[in-house]
Parts: sequence; C-alpha cells; structure tokens
Amino acid sequence: MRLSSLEYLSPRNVKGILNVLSEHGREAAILAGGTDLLVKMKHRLIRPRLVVDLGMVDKLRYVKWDKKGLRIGAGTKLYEIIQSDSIKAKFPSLSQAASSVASPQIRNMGTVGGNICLDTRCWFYNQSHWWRKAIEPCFKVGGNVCHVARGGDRCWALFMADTPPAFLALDANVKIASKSGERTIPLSQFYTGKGKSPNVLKQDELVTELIVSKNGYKSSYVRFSFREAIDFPVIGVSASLLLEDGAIRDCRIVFTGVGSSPVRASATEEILKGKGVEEAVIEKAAKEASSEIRPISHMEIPALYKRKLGGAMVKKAIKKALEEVDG
Amino acid sequence: MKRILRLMVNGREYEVAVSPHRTLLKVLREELGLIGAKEGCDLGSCGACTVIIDGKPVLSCLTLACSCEGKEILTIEGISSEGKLHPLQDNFMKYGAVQCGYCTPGMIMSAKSLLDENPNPSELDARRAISGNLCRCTGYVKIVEAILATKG
Repeated sequence: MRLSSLEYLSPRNVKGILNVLSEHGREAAILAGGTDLLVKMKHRLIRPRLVVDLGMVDKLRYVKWDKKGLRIGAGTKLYEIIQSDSIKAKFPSLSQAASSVASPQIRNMGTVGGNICLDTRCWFYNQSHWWRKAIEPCFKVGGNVCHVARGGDRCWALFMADTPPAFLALDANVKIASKSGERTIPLSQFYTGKGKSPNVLKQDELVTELIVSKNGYKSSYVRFSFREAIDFPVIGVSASLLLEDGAIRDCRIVFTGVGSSPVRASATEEILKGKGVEEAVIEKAAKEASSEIRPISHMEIPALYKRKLGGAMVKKAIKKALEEVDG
Repeated sequence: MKRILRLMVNGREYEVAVSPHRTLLKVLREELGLIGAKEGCDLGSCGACTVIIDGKPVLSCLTLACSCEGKEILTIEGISSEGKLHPLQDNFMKYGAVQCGYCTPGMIMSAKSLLDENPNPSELDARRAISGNLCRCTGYVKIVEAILATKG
C-alpha cells in the first residue's frame, strides 16, 4: 500500500512546527511516531499535502519533575515512559498504560502526544480505500449513515487509546501551543465525546506537554483485549485512589473503549468515596460501573457483554491499585 | 520533488535521491537492494519489516525514509560479520526456527535488540520481545527456543 506523494518538512524547533501549521493549516499533518498517521494515509482516510515531522525537535522529548509535579513532553516515546523509574514509582498507572500499547516496535515509535490525540476507531472506518468503496460513506468520512448504529444520527466510532484514561484519572493538564500563544487546559476538556472529531485541537495547534500534579494517589491501569499484543483494548480502566486511615478519601475511575471519548465513571467514584477498602465496597462499585457505562454493540462485542466486562475490569483496576500499597 | 538523503545503513553511508512519500522499507528494498526486511501487512501489524534504528526495533513500513537522516539503521544484512553469521542466525537454523522464513528477519531483529539490552532474558521476556512479530506458520516455540539458546 503506497503513500500518496507529499511534501516533507522537519523543523528543528517548536516555533518552526507552529509556523508550518499556521501557514498550511488543513493541508498539513503532524507526524510524531507515524504509527497511526501513516496507516491512515495509506488507507486514504486522510490525504495531507504536507507532513511536518516532530522527530527533529528534541525539546519535545523529556520526562521531568518540578514543583508542579510531572511534566512529559508530547514527543516522548512510549517506551521512555515505561523506562522511567520515577513514573513507575509515583504513577504506576501511566507506566502500565504505556506498556499495554500495541507492540514493542510501536511503543518504540509512538509518542505520548500521539496517544493522547489518537483518533476514534471503527471497523467500518479503519479500512482501505478499496474496502470502503463497497459501502456507503459513513459520518466519519463525511457521509450521513452509521454502519454500527443503524439509523443513528451521529458517528459512534470508539476511543480506544490506553494512556488517556490513566492521565485523566490523575487529573492531568495538557499544554497546547499555536503561533498565537499557549494554553493549558484540563485533559478532561480536551475530549469532545464526538466520534467524528474526538478532540478540541485546531488545525494550527500542537499538543506540547502533559502535566500531572497529583500527589499521594495509588493508581493502576488494566485492560482486556482479545490478543495480548498488537490489539486495541475492548475495555481499559484506570483507577486512582487517595487513602487516609484505611478509607478511600478521593478516587477517579476512567474508562477507555466504551464511548467516543474516555469516560469517567462519577457515580462509581461516589460509591467508593469515604468507604473503607473492603471487598463488599469494591463489589458494589463494580456493579455500579456496569450500569453506569453506556456502551453500544460494536461488531462482535455486544453492549451487554461490555457492561459486565466493565464491572469486572473496575474491580481488577481497584485491586491492582491497592496492591501498590502492600507491595 | 526528490530529496538527497544520506542514510547510514549497517555502518555504511548511502547517498540516495528519494521522494518524501517513500517509506524506509521501500527505500531499503528498492533503492539500496537490501531485501532482508520484508513487506508483510505494510500497516504496522505484522513486524516483518522490523529494523533497528538507534538501538531500538521499529517498523520500517511506518517510517518515512526522510526522517532517518542522521540515524543508525541496522538491518538483517548488517548483523553478520566477516562472513560469519550472528549467533542468533546460527541458532535459528540449528533449532529449526525457520519455516517459510518470511518473518525471520523481523524476528531476529527484535530478538537481537532484546539480547543487546538483556543478555539473560526469561522465556516471558523472549515472548514479549517478539510479541510485535507475527509468524503465520505459527512456529513460535522453536523461535523462542532459538532465542533462549543464544542468551548470555
């Protein structure tokens, strides 16, 4: 599968990247790890005239700690997150989420920024041009049908990235830059919930940094997928828990794979808050999570199965986060 | 428009004129004649095109050749020295870890990178290291045996 012809630019600094994006807007695509971008280009899902490569911008590639907490450059490779002992010790969920992405090769190429900006996916969308020619164009490609939710009035493509739920469960902020300036927003405001355009990033904007300021939280990420490698999760769950005298003072439960953006399970969190760490509480939370999430049936995965799985995964995520306490 | 690229492959510098849309895999195979890395799915799912760039196994089918300037690229052709096979290659033959052979170059590059970082891997380490490489003949058992026989 060949790529269409294109122009290639590799500025050496962020300013250079932002200039290209501001000048070329819609015609330019940002190339970070390339593991998703080039596949979409080969499938002719996007046809940028120009790619602007972040690979030469060393200043986007760092893991550092300061008084704000943890700062990760958007160009940091996923394997660099996994290799960081300080991340593993303080925010194991980030380490676990990065480790579950695809395969060793893809983790060596893919970046944190790329994983945060990962597009939603669908069986009827992530296919070759040739395959898609046989079906009516769906919402995601600019048509007006949804092949998953027949008669639906919007795109139901699923958000399946692994690291966003982990960052969200730690209340991370994301720094976004454009030629006209910089803004930092909570990552929870970065996602739109729309299958067609899952994040708020504009054509001339670039994600430059992720900031995690949480302190003292135990955290975990667990996922269920049909294959152990080179597969997106059916469901992934990240849990973060703040314990005080054996009770859960604060917590976050965030899903991936159940909607068009990462989904926070607030009702489930309420059940956990203020309670002791007991089997019965975890069981009740899992039950709540099952009914709280609103998955729809996608291809071979029925909604009911996903609900049950969601509950089981919440249980697993909480227990895994707590293991960090003992071990 | 074509660009003149300087690529460092297997310790040798090549100067080659390349259109920006060409992947490293295509340039290795079609311009440099290094046909060891294979084109499988060409979409990043199979690992047949695995090469080592700056010490890390990556997918050459999802890497633009243009982005490889100034980097050290190692392909299956570059791991033997002075006509002598790499111990992994010897053991792949000895243990029958090759059936149709199509996944072998990618498997060996992933395995080499594992052994370079961890000379004494467990079986689980070996399986994880090749988890991004598909063997359609399903000959994984022999492949893992060959990798473990090469350790330390």
